Amino acid sequence: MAMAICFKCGSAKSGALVACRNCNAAPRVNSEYAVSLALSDHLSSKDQLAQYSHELRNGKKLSVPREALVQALDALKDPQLLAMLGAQSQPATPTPAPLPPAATRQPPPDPPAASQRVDPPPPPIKQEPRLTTTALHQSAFAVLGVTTRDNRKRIVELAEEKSLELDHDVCQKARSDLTNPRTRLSAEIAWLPGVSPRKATQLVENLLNDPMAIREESGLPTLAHLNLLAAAFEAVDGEHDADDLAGFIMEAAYLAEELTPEEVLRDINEDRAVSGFPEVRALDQIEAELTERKRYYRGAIKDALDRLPPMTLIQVMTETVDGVTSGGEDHAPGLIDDLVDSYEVETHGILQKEAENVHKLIKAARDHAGSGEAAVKPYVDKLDAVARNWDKIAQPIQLSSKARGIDHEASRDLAYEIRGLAIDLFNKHDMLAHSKRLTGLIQELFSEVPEIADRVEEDADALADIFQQRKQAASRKDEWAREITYRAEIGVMFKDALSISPDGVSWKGQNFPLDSITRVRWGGVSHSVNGIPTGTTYTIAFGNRSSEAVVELKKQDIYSTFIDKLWRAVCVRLLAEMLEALKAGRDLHFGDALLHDDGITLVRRKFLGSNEKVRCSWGQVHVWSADGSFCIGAKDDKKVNAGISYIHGANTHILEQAIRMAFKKPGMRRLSDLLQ
Amino acid sequence: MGFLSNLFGGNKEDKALREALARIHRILDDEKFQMELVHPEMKAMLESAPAYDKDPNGTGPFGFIETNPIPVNGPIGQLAYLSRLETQSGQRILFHRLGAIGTVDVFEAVSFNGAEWFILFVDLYHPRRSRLTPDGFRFTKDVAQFSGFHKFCENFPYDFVEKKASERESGLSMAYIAISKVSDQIQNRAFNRPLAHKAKLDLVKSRLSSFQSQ
Repeated sequence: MAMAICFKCGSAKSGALVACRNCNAAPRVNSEYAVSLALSDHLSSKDQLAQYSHELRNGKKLSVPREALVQALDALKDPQLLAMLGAQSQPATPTPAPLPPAATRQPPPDPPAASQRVDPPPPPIKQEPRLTTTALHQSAFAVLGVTTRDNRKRIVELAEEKSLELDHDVCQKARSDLTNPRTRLSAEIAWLPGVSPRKATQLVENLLNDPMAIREESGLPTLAHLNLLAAAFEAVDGEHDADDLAGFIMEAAYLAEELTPEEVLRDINEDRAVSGFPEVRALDQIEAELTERKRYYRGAIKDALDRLPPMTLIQVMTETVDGVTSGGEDHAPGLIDDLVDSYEVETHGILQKEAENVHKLIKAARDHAGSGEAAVKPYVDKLDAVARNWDKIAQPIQLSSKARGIDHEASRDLAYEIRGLAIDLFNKHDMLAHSKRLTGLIQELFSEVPEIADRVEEDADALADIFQQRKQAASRKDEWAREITYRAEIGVMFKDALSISPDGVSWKGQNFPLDSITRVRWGGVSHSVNGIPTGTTYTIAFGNRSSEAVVELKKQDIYSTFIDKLWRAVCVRLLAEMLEALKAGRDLHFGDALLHDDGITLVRRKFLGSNEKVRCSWGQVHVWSADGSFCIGAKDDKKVNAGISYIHGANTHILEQAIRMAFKKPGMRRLSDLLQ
Repeated sequence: MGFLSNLFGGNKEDKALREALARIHRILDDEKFQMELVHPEMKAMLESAPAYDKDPNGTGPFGFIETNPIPVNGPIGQLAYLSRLETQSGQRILFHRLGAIGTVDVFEAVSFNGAEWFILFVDLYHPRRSRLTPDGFRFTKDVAQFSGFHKFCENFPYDFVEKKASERESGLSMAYIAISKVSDQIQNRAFNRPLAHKAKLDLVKSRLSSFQSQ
């Protein structure tokens, strides 16, 4: 909650525009709203608020600065705020309707330093490079010392004069270029149109002494300024500061965006009106020349970049494109797009070579994936390094592509290749860690490729979810292991260990892995002498197809605890296996009874003659326990039954559990219905 | 969906994830399914409420004042509706719930680029969501993955990443927009409340009858 003070009594309150709890005053009209906003921490510091409070409490005049009130009044033009204040129909000052009506717009933020083009920061202090000549000094105007306002006669005179000190052919060509209407326009456009002759001379001279000073010039016609900047690029050498050069390129690129043929036409014709050369009528002539001129600017910048060490060149390109596109979000000036296109052509070879290295590493990683994570790791490490190198070179292209709304194909292809490896390592070899690492790498390196960025983020989310699921599964497994693990000493004099854990069930040195156990039985027999109870002997037996371990013990708590653990560790599985077997059509013997999925074959016991087998459906039988046995009998014939000993019969408890569970299921026809 | 099928093709996770994504698409789009997710008693309450695009008795600018809230179908309906909104300049919005004034939920929202801030009023006690948008908005043509929360975000919207992660337990995190859509703005601290918006927040907060805190 904001902190504010009441405009009437100076007490603290919780919000600028809410009622004061001390004096119940609430702002009602626009001026009160404005003062109240100014008296809040939205517009004033704590110290200022304390001062205002003091002023109000002592009946002094409020010293709120006018700027704060202006800001407050501006905020009070917000329609939703007015609606909330119940004053929408009576705004204090006429307001232009903002769109959308209820949006509160954030004041435009300061543009990022990289994209600022007004008042660029001064270049770092260093020994400024000097030039002996530039392309501007090769201009016909510079060669002959002619101004844009000199007429044909004067040009011829100056050419002849200059012939005495310069190469005759050069002077004749310069003369021809300036006097021939077909070539004069090119010469004018490559010179400083719109700049006074004296100023032009001075600017060209200064270029040699302090080339970068031209960046500080203001008020020059756009074309002339660009021509001077292009000349200044010739001063860039391999030692030039990368940040400064990136800023310089951005300045030139933004300026080139402002170049309009109309302005150039006007400047040239103004000079021609003085020099007596016929005016240029067709704008398309200017446009064609300007297209060529922009190509020249690109070349000048490219030449400057080519003088840099490779890593500096990449850094400058990246900073430039990042700056003008705000990280790939905004369209770049056309000059930068052209520059990036050139860069892409020139880096194509090296990127292709690096991509081939990536492919080789991906193949090697795949080939070694069968040998385990450790075997793959060195290739993933190298892949990480090569891909980063690749990305460093491709970064300006990626940013530019993103700004143009297209995916950089080579980046996308490479990212998909790496992603393919991540997928294979996970799907085929269950290498979640490597897969996550590669996915993270793609996310980091190819964030400028929108298709990849979104897709890989979803991959990363999916992998994170799976990782989480596995952690949970591992946690459940640990919990299960804790639940089934138990160990007890059995015996009075000579103790033997009975234990159960995920590793198996052990008794007297004999271990049965949990999955190998196919039969279990248990039960207790109470003893008595002359009707006096003498204790109970408990039997627990478990085994596989070939052997069985039998444990006899006296302690009921050990017996109960062990059976509980055995049930969770083994019997649940045996129950499921039994139901699966029945579902598959197998019949299972339990004592005299033969168990089917849809019923049971029991025995009709005859006093005389041989017993008779009777097949009953589940609806025809009922079950009970008696004399240490699990009994199943026909409901309508007491002689048809079977008794299966709990203590001697293998898996009797499991059978009982299955049948009793199934009987609870309404409409049960088959035991295997329990599996559904 | 496609990438997940490829990524986890043929294994158990594939099936589970496909099912999860199908469910998420239903959460985003299917109003009936959204109703299935609410408590039966609340569902009955929502179904018994009138289905309309706008309260015929509402007064004031639609969606911008508690007396004319946007009707939607329950809490998931809130997320689905607000996530569909985009400004006329094509900016979708991030949002979180400030609290409620009576039965009307109050949301604070900001466009993805951080340029425009809003206070929106939503009434969730209706069987379907409104087909209208507040002035200055339209419905996005993108897949309207969730871009906000029906809970209070203390450091809105800078805590979007953490809040999205916290939805993982609810199974909704994959229904949310990719973080890359807002990560740059978050990193660049592009979200700054203008003065008028701060004033609105003061007013709204003073009127909340219920609010959440972390």
